[in-house]
Amino acid sequence: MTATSAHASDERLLRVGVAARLVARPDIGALLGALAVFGLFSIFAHKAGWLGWADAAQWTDQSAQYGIVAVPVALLMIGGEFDLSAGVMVGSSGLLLGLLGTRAHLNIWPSILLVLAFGAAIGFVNGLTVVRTRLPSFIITLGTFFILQGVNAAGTLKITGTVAIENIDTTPGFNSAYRWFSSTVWSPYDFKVKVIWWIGITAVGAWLLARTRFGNWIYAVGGDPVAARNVGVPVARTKIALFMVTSTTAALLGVIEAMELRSTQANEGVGREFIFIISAVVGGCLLTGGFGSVVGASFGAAILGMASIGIILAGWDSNWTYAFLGGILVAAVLMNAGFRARALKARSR
Amino acid sequence: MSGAFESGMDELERLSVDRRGLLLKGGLAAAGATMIGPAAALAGGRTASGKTTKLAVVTHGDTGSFWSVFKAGVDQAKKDLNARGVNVTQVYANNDVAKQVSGINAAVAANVNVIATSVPDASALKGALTQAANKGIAIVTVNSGEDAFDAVPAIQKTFMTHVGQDEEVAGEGAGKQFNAAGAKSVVVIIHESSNSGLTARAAGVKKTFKGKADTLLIPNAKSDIPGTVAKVKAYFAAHSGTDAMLGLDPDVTVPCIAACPSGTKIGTFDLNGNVITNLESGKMLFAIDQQQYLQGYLPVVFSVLYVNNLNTVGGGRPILTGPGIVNKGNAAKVAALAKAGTR
Repeated sequence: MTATSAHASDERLLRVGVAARLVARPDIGALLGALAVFGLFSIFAHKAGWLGWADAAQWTDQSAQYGIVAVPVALLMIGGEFDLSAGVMVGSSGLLLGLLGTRAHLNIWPSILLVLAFGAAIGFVNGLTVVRTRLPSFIITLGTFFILQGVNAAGTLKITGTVAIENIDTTPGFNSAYRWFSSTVWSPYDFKVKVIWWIGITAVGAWLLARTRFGNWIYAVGGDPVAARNVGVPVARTKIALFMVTSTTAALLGVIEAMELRSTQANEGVGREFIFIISAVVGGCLLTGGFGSVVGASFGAAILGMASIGIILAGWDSNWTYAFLGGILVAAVLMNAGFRARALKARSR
Repeated sequence: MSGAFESGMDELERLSVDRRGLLLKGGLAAAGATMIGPAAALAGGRTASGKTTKLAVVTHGDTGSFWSVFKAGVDQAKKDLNARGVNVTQVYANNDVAKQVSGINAAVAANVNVIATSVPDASALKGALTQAANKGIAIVTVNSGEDAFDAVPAIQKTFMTHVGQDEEVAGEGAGKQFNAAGAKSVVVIIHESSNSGLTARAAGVKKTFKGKADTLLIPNAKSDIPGTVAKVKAYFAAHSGTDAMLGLDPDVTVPCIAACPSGTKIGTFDLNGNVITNLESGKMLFAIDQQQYLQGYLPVVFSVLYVNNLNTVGGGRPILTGPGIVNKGNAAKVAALAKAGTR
């Protein structure tokens, strides 16, 4: 950004046109990508009813599976950190909910609170370890990931003799909670309630990031932690809070899934941490932190959800799914980088 | 994504096996593996009527519901043949190839007559099995390892037979079940990519099923079950003529019942409590049971016959334990047996 002497005024006060401001948004690439993927399948999956509500109920279900946790993962990435344990956490919390309900015979509501507290505790441990040791969160949370995966498999086997916990619907009070977390709305299309959770969490995340002091802190600690500390931002507390929000949200998804399926098996969630991160990256988050968007991450999740359902509806060989997702990732990152370069130019002109 | 990651981990594991395998060549005891029955017991137990049969059962299995039924078969056979003089040690390596290799090496060092082993990964077990064959120990493969005979040529001189389910034959059995139910078009849900056992099952279905047989691959289906259900729903939306579904794992099949239009004929591989409930209520048509109890029981019988009478069975072909069919007619009886731990 070379403000020459010709510009007497501060470059931050420079007037930027609407188009330039639009492409400067981190989520513009994901929005265009989502529209492109939707358009693609409205051609190729037209016969299977892509434009109807019944199909929308399917892809939004899949997208919510990604999007609910992609939102806090995006916040965490903007704050400069990763959480690779967010995927397996979905399985751990579902198993814990099952154990509390079917083995300890606890009512569903206190069970849910305990599971969310468990999520927050794991996030706290992740965050504290990262902040204290200053080791990359990639490594710390990879460790948490493997530990939880092992505990899920071995613990479930030890307690139930199989690798699944079944009959979660025998938990006292199950139906009262099922309504809020895992039921469907708008018959006969039967949209999942978790889609509403996804939209709500996106709205809260976007508000947090754009309108609150905590949101400013997230940008600050991700952009330059030293500078942030120098101006009085509580860097450690902000990062730990972000880890806790991520783990707790993953635990929430675990609760939603366990109640929806009425059973959980030990594999659930493993591998989805990458999908969360991909959603965030497609949505315009930088791996280096300090830049990104929550709404973009949700568009990213929508793209991935549409793609994995759309491929089946279009009748394509689903062996190609991962190649397709990889292509979307690369295309989105290139597009985001291009937009970002143009945006910086628009500001420094 | 995690698939690539996991296969990377497998590679690491394999490398470390090679290193540890060298250390274990000396016949180190199966450190850390679940060892049932002391190795010292191999010595005694001879009866007047014949020689004592010394058998080592070494599998990659764990102590979960599937393998506990297998173990019940071994234990029962041991009890039934006690009068003939039989000593059996069992090692369940819990999918740790290194533990399985050390278990086989320990059996070789203990001079057993017969080793019954699963061969999930022929290249990793090749060294240990070759050593066993060179020492004249007869080998029975159980559960997995039908192709071990070809993959490890050295074992051919002492190879007895394979006791297990042929995945393709089991798939053929499923195809016949759908024929009998009058299904016109079936979709087979393949829940893992690059698992040859699953594709063999689907190929078997295609072979015998008279209608249209299609496959739906859902990579890593078991780590995103709600997403899997949504995908199966999408499949039915795009293929309105499909009237039957076959799942290859109960953890996938049972949740996907909700994704099928009513009246869909649903079958699955393998049994669990939920499968039996759904068979009894008529929501599911049949389950393919590979009867792993037999995979544990029969090798003990074969070993006693071989050691005492040099009998061999199978005539160079595998002894198939599946497909056993469980449906509404026998689900209640099988449920009782499952409770007793033998199905």
